[in-house]
Amino acid sequence: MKVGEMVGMAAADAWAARARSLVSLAGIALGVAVLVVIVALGLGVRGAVLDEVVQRLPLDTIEVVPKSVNLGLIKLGGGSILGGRVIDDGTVASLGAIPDVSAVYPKLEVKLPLGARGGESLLGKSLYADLFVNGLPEELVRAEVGDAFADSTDFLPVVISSQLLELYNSSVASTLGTPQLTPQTLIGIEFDVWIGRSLILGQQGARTTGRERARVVGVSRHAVKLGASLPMATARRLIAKYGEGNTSTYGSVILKAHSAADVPAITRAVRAQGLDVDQTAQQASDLMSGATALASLVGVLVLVLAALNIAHSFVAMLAERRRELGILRAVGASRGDILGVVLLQASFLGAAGGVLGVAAAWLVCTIADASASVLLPDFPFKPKSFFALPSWLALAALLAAVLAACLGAAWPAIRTARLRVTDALAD
Amino acid sequence: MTLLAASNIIKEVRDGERTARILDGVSLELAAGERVALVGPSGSGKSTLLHILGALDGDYKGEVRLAGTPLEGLSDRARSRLRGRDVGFVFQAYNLVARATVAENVALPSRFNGSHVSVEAVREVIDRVGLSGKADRRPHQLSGGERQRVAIARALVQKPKVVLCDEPTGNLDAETGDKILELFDTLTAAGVGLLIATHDRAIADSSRRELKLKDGKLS
Repeated sequence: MKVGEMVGMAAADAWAARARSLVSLAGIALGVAVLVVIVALGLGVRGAVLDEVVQRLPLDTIEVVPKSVNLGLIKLGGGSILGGRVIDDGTVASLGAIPDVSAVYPKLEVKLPLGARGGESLLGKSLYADLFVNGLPEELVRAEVGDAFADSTDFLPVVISSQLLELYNSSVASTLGTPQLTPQTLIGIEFDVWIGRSLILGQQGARTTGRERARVVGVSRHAVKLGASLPMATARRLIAKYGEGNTSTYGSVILKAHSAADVPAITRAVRAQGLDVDQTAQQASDLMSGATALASLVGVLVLVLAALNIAHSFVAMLAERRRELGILRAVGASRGDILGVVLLQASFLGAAGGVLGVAAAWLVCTIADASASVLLPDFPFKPKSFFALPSWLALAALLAAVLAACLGAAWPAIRTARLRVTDALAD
Repeated sequence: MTLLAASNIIKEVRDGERTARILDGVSLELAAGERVALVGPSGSGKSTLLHILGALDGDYKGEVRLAGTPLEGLSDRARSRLRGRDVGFVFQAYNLVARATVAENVALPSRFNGSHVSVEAVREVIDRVGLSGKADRRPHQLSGGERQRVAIARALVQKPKVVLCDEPTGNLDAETGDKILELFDTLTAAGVGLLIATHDRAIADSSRRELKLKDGKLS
């Protein structure tokens, strides 16, 4: 039987049984819609968290950290306490010597009690907060900030993270009634940095106290998340002037590979040196993917029920058409022809249900996003859309719908195709 | 030339513990251009024999050669192809697809065997069985006799080598029955072999041979 004939016959059969077809189609559409909405929500939230909250690194970049022991909720810091390796200048040099590493960017920890006060000109009132600071290589931040991020004896040039800006805008500003800020309005803002005492650390780690003037020179994804980052030379100078600790201990090191394909080998080499690779983004991604997969089971369950409904519907429909199918067999239809026509009919229902389901899911996502923007209060990292509906998801949902419909119709189709012609005609 | 040959056909049917032998060593031949009548009382196995000869029923012992091809051991696909291409089957109960028109019913075999039958060819065979102007009607809009003629048209449209008929004139009035007999004559004249299971004496008398089936045996 020619494919065109089979398609025509399957379409005619679906139309002839349109009441049953509609019920089957609605079941498939519901399953697909639930599945797509859940996966789209998972993808949307995952994307927002990884891009805005965690700010994952590019694929050709990893962040090396001292080894730590993960005890579930508690993560014990590594370094020499647990026999791991502390990151010093020697370690940075050996990391730079790993094959296919194209650049090394150490992040210097400034273990000083610090506090920041200022912002009256911009915010209308002076604010105080404990300050956490690290030192970054200028070349790491240059692409985002330019040459302004360079050591200066006149002031402390600082960059802050976009996460900190988001947290301020979505929670602090609304609570304190201060204006919202943008990266542009922040640049040039100066404030005082009190060194040698803070609310949390007291005077721990400081040799002496003092005050320095700091100036915001930009916003960087590499800046410490809840604090400020200084040029490496500035940070070293600050530690030398006020601190009593080792200026050459780094919290982490960013390694850039020649290409993303080199990253696995570099990761192995890093671990061989007694260090670890920061897995925060990967763990967050895995956690949310797992949660999405679990939630997707609801959609899969609805699809399975839809497939069972199709099976039930096809059993009844094919029983009604038993004699007619026997006639087709008598005039030359093979078992394969019958099987093909029935499965094609099911796949039409699946495809139509899939398209309807994806359309319904898109509508639900759009309405939910519109409602969320109006009804939900602003909160940190609130995304513009909670849903991501990429074309591959729509295509996968469509395929799942066709597959579910065909699986549902498979057993009734096989049973019908195996029917003896004379038995069918005897009905 | 022999178009259809059956040798020692045995057909048994299980009914619980009991096995009933419907056909008991039936052998026959049908030549090109020959019309043979198969007569016998109801329940003698005429329809069963036609089903076996027409490759509708593969559950039997013995050998059948249809248009030179042995049916035993053929795949379902090959049997189906043979059934659609070389055999025309006229059923006593018409066996028309209720939701298809007359023309669609007649053209049905061509949908499965890949052959192209033109709209004109379908119209022509519909005209030949006396259903001109009724090509777009559905079976429920036709009388019993007209439905039988649609079934005959469907059996002829592929120009088969063998036509097997199960009581083809049983539901027809005398005039239409005569027309169908005339049509059969033109078919045999064209070399088609006809095997007709019938109670109609007129058909039996006008056939070249008459085979009597009783208790599953031919005489």
